[in-house]
Amino acid sequence: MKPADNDADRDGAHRLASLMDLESAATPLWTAAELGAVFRHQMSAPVQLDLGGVAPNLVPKLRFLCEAQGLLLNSFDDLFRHPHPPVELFEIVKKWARRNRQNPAAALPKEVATALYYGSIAAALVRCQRQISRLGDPALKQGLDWMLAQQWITDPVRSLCQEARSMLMKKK
Amino acid sequence: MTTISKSDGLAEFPSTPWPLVITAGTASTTVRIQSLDDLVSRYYRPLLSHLVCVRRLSPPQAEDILHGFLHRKVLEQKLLASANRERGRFRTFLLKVLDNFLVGEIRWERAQKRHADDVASIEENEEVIADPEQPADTYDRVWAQTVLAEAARRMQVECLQGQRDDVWGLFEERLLRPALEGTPPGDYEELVGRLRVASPTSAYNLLVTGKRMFARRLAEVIGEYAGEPQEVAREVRELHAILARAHKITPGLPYTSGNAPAEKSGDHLRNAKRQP
Repeated sequence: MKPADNDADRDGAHRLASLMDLESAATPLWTAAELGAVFRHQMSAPVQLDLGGVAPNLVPKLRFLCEAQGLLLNSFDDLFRHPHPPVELFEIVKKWARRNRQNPAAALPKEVATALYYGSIAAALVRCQRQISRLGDPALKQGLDWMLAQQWITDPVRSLCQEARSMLMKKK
Repeated sequence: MTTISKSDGLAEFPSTPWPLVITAGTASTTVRIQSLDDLVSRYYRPLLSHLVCVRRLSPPQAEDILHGFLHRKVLEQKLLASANRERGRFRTFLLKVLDNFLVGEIRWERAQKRHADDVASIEENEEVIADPEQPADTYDRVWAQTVLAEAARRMQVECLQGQRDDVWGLFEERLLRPALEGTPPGDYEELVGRLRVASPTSAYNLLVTGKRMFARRLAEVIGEYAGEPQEVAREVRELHAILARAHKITPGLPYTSGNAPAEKSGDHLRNAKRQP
C-alpha cells in the first residue's frame, strides 16, 4: 500500500472515531478551502437573524435600524454595499464578529469572523467617516493588509478595505 | 421527541445478545432459528471481513468457510448452547470458534489433497493463520462500523419522520458519509443552497444538533447489547479506541437504502442451510 493510501485510510478511521467525539469542538466543520463559500454565505445571510443573537435587547433596535429611512437592509451584503448605512449597525457587526473570533467554540470560522471584524471597521470609516475601533492606525493597517491578502474576500468588502487603507495612508 | 417503536423501523437491530444467545442455544426449533437468524444478521459482515482481511481468503472462499461454519458449527453442533456469559464477550467467543473452525477446514483440505491434487486450495493461507497480527482488529473495526451505521440509520429515520431533512442532509454529507465511506465532504455552497440554510451559524447549529441526535442513537444501539449504563459507556470508549487505532476502513456499510443494499434478514442463514 502506498504511503498516501495509508494516510487516507488512517484519516478515514480517525474521521469515523471523530463521529463519536460528540461534544468535541475539535472536529472542524469546514475546511480552509471553503472559507470563501462560508464568507459568501455569511454575506447573504439576514442581518437580523445573526445579529439578534448578540443581545436580546438589540432585536428591536436592529429592526428599527434595518428598516429606518427606507434602507431595507436584508443581508450583510446589503449593509456593506449601502452608500449611507447607519454606523450603529457596523458597531453591532464588529461586536458580534469579535465575540466569534474570541470564542474557540464559535459557529463561524475564525478567519471569517476576522474578515467581518475588519470589514465593519473599514465600512464605518469609508461610508460613515467614523472610527469605531480603538485600534491604532498601524494595527488597523495591518488588519486591512491581512484582508487584502485573502483571496476569498468578496469584491465589495475588498474595495472597502482598499479605500479605508488609502484613507489611513493619507493621514500620515 | 419521537417515540421509538418496532413499527417505525427504528428498533430492528437485534436486541441484547446474551438473552438472544441463550434463546438461540436452547429454545424450541422455530424460536431458535429466528434468534439464530438475528445473531447471524448482526455478525455476518464482521466475520466475513475477518476472513478476507485478516485471514486473507478470497471473498468466495471466505463465504464458503462462513456458510460452512454457520451450517455445521452453529446449526448442527448447536455451538450457542455451549456459549457461556461468564467467559466474556460473545463477539470474542464467536471469533475464536470461527478461527478454530478455519484451522480444522485447512487441515481437512490438506488431508484430502493428498488424494487429489486438483482441488482448489486454501492451504496457502495456513501461514496467515499463524500471523501474530492482532486477529480481532479487523473484526472489531467492522463491528464498530456496523454499530455506527445502525445508529446512523435510526437517526435518518428519526430525521425523516420529524421532517428534519436539513439536519440529516448536513450531517450525512458533511460528517457521516466522509467518515463511513471516506469520501470528501459535500460541497458547502451547494448543500446550504439546497437545504435552504440561512447562515453559517445556522449550518453550524444544525450540525451540532445532528451530532447530538447521532449520540443518542448510538447510545441506544449500544445499550441494546451492552446492557448496564456503565457497560454502555465502556463500550463507547472501546469502539472509539478500536476506530482510533484502525488503519483501514471497510467501505460500503449500508445505512440508507440508497447505498449497497443490506442482505435481507435471514438470507445468511438460508444460504448456510443450503450448504452441502
